[in-house]
Amino acid sequence: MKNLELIFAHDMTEFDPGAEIGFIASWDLESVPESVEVRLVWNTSGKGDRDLKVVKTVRFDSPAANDQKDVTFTLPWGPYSFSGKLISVIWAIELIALPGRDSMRREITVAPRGKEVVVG
Amino acid sequence: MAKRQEALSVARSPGFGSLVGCFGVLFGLVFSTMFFGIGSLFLWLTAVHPGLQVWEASSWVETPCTIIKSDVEGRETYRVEIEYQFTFDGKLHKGDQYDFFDMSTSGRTSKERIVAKYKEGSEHVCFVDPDDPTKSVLHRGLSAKMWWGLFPIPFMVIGLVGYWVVFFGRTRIKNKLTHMQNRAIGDASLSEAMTGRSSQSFSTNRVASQSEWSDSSYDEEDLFEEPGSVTLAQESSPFGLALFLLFFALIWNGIVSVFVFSRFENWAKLDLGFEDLILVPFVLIGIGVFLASIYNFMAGMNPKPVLVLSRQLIPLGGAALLQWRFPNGTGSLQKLKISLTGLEEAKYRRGTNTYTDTETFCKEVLFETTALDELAEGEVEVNIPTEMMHSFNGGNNKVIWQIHFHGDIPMWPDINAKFPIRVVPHE
Repeated sequence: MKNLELIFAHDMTEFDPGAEIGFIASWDLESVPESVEVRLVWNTSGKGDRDLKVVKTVRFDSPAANDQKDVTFTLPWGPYSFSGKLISVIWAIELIALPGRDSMRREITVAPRGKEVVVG
Repeated sequence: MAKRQEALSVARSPGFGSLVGCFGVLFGLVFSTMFFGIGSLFLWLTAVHPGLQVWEASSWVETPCTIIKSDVEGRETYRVEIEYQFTFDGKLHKGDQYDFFDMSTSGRTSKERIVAKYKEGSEHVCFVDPDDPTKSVLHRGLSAKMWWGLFPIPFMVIGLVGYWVVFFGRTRIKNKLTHMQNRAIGDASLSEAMTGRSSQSFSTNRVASQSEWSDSSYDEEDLFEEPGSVTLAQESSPFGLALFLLFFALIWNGIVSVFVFSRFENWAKLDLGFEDLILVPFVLIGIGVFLASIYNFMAGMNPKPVLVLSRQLIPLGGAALLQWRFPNGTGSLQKLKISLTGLEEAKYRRGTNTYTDTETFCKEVLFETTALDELAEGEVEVNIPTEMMHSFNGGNNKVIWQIHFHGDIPMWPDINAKFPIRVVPHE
């Protein structure tokens, strides 16, 4: 039984750029991980080959197999969450137990008024 | 509604790009070595070695000889088959070398003229190596057909260009492109600097073990707008393209001309074959590329606009003043249209090929005139729509904003210049 969760207050995942966001990262793993990382990432999707960037990382070394932590990130001012005809920019929080590959990801929106920029 | 899925940053596959890069370098090296190696070998055999023999034979001894055989050999290409005998140091020797360029070439007539001159039984002089009388020649000077010996040079040039691209060009080109993009396109990291840097609860450093898929990079100077205006740099110059096309056309046509000349005498006799049909597309491509290079040279001679933007970074919803002028006059320019364009660009690989697709999401005409007194210089306000996407450079995926400067010139290539600008997130 392994379970990873990212819990946002009021399940809100739409944010303004520059906003400070807080959430709970929780995990319940079969074995004790070396570390657990919470990553703020953006990636592209669409016609082009994927670009991905880990913008910020919080690392918890020698955690318990079952634990939860409060995490706070200050979001950058860009790039905005964006959807065009060829490409999209998608923001996400990723929770990863290392060195294994147990992980989960929750996509968020980072754009003015929390609304993805849509063009085309 | 939020989606749950596996983290993408775990299953990174940075090796793909590296693998493609390694294969690219390997292919480039093999390709360049083949062209340069084979070209060098042929240049040695057809030009350098015969040239050295000509120089060596300049000290050989002139000796009377008798032609004992003289004929033209070959069906498609021809060579002179000749034998002669001479007495040197009291001994009878035989020779069979007309000149040092011993290669079968097209054109039977020139060989027949030689055979007619050196008839069987006729008396002539040959040149004998006094140190080794087994080495002799009838014609020891340079001949017109030695120009054929230079045909491997284009192959060697292709090889050398290949080496340059593999060892120096890739880095230089990439650096230049990156520099241009960084100057022209705000990358995603710009935003990182705008966050006011780190917060105590997290590390802003990249994870050391990561190989990022995105190659967006930035340098410090891109993060802050210096006060004052900026002179926009054109995306590309028609002269650069013209030179590239001309270079390609010279190599391509140089190679094709070898085959064309080999068939020339047959064409003169209206002796056409299937091989002539195969030559046609190659000749047409050569002509087409050459004409394209001329077109771009003409475009390169167009009046050059200088564009100055009142600020280096324009935020979404913001404005800037764009001024233009033609320092060297407008020439025959009759119509001018200045547009603001926003476009998506996606680069993707399919097999070993890389493709780039673009899609315009915003196009707004800022200024348009046919009045000659308004063409030479002016200014216009550039307003960036607020509900749009800022400039973005993820590496393979980009959002690009540019000023498109289009001028109509009758009976001449139009001015078609693009000047990237940097649009940043809202202030």
